[in-house]
Amino acid sequence: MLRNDIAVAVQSVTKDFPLADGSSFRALAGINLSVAAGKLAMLSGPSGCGKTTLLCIISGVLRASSGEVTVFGEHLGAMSERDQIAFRLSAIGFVFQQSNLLPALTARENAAVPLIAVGCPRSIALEKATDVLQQLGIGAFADSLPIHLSGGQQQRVTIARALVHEPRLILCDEPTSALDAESGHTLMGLLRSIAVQPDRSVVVVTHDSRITEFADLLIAMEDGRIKSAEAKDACESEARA
Amino acid sequence: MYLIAIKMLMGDTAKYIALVLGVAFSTMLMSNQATIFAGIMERAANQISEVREADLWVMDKRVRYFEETEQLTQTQLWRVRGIEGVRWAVPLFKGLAMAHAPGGGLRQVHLMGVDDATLTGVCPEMVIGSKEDLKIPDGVIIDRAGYRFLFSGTPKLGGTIEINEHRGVIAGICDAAPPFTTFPLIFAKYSDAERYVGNPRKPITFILVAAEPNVDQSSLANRIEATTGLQVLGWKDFASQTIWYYVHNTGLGVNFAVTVILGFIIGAVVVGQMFHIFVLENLRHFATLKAVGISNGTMSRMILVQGLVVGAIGYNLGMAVSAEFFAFVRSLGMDFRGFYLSWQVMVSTGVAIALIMLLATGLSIRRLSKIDPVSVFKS
Repeated sequence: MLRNDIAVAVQSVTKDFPLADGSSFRALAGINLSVAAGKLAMLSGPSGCGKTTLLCIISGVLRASSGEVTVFGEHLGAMSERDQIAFRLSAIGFVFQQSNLLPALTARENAAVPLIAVGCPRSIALEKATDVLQQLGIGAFADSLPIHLSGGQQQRVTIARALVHEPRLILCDEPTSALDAESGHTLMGLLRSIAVQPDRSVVVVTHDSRITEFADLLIAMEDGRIKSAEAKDACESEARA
Repeated sequence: MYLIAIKMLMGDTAKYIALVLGVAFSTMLMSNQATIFAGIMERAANQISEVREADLWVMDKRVRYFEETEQLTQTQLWRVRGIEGVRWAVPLFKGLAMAHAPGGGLRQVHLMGVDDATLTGVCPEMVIGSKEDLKIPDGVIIDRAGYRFLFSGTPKLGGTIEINEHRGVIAGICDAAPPFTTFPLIFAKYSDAERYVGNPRKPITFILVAAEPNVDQSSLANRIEATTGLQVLGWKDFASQTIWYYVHNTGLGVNFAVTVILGFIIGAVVVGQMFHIFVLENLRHFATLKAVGISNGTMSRMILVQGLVVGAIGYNLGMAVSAEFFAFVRSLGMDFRGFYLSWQVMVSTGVAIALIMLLATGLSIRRLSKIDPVSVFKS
């Protein structure tokens, strides 16, 4: 497999959190993982197993205590905080557990935020955001405020916000947890069909066993370690526990 | 991102309005009190600053401000005239007199006796008539507010007035800047003024001096002081000395300063607190932006833009209310003329509001810089 075919490479990553008594809590204990480009990887496991911590480290929101994280060949650990923030803005799209849309902005404006933040002219950013919202089936609600959208529609706007600037990696944290089964299924279908591209990967953290069918790589975590990894196509995606 | 910041701000309508009103109230309080104070202080020195022709004011050494004077003798005027560098020196009489109008109107007035020949010291803004008309027998010039009080109907010349039981003829009506007290101002020839007050032994209140061209005024002032033992001040110094007398010797300065400071504190506390709450309530959204990849610098600028918008709108609203207030007050009567929003008050209030907004946004930016984007990943 060529190096630039690897979207995310995590090598021997540990993460310790200091505790009030001076000791520390190890949230991740030697994680090794790689996700190929063009694939959807799903991290599952019980609460507190370290899924979200791993997602934060992959995104550069948290720094690993040891080990190395590479996203499309870029070593996150070697970057300054400023570079990490800039890298996040340009290369990563986020879908959070709760939509966290800005309540004063319309769906279109919310979706356009990453583009506007990178300096794209507002009119172009809004146009592009509208296109993505249409692809996600909520073009009709482009001018609606979040308060007027259902939970599923809000999550679609969040996905639009994650996709609008065409990042190479999409990170989703429990994207279906606030949705009913049908909405969750529809949302994952959309994510699968639109977000996953040959040069783009998606990593989803989830508790929701109903959506595992959308994964190319299913990783189960427990106690800060990878318990098992199941690749639907072992040639393209791999995981090492 | 700045437009997004503004939309975030205005999206929370109740808080946005409260913030703007907080700034507007603070602006109004500070500018209102500062203007009233400046207006009162300006009144204290108006009769000095309106005498544009003289370079120097000569007076008794013990004079501390315009209203408290010790009279001078004719000999002292001659001595001043004899000093090298003095182009001219003329007497100015200032005193109080009782004025009776034909219709029965009675009022205490400021009587200003100006040099018969040069008329130096007459109010420069004439409404009806000219300064020269003062030279007619028994001629007096009265200020607009005084005329309105003592006479009824359309202002006109030729009416008579009784000043300390002596006849005066209205030879002109002027638009004098209001004095500290609300008494009418009556300008008369020096010789007439002497007569009105009973030919006192010491008839001169001030000696107004003009320096020869190319003569240094401060050297001339020193020379006059050394020769005559009198006090000599430039008009600006005398005006400033008069103003500071009121600031130091009355509660006016402290009273108004306390209110202005209160306006600042109320503004800083209310606006600062409200702005901080606004940011706290939007913390999750700011954390989301931070997680997405918006830098602390960009978010700080967003907060500054929000502060700028609140400050600018609140300031303008407060200034508008303040200006309307003074326009209304001036419309109530001539006694309230002279209270206007000066650019100095507007600028200093603007600086105070900018400081309030910097404090408010500074606190919020500090809080913002500590947001942990990881919090967004927690449900």
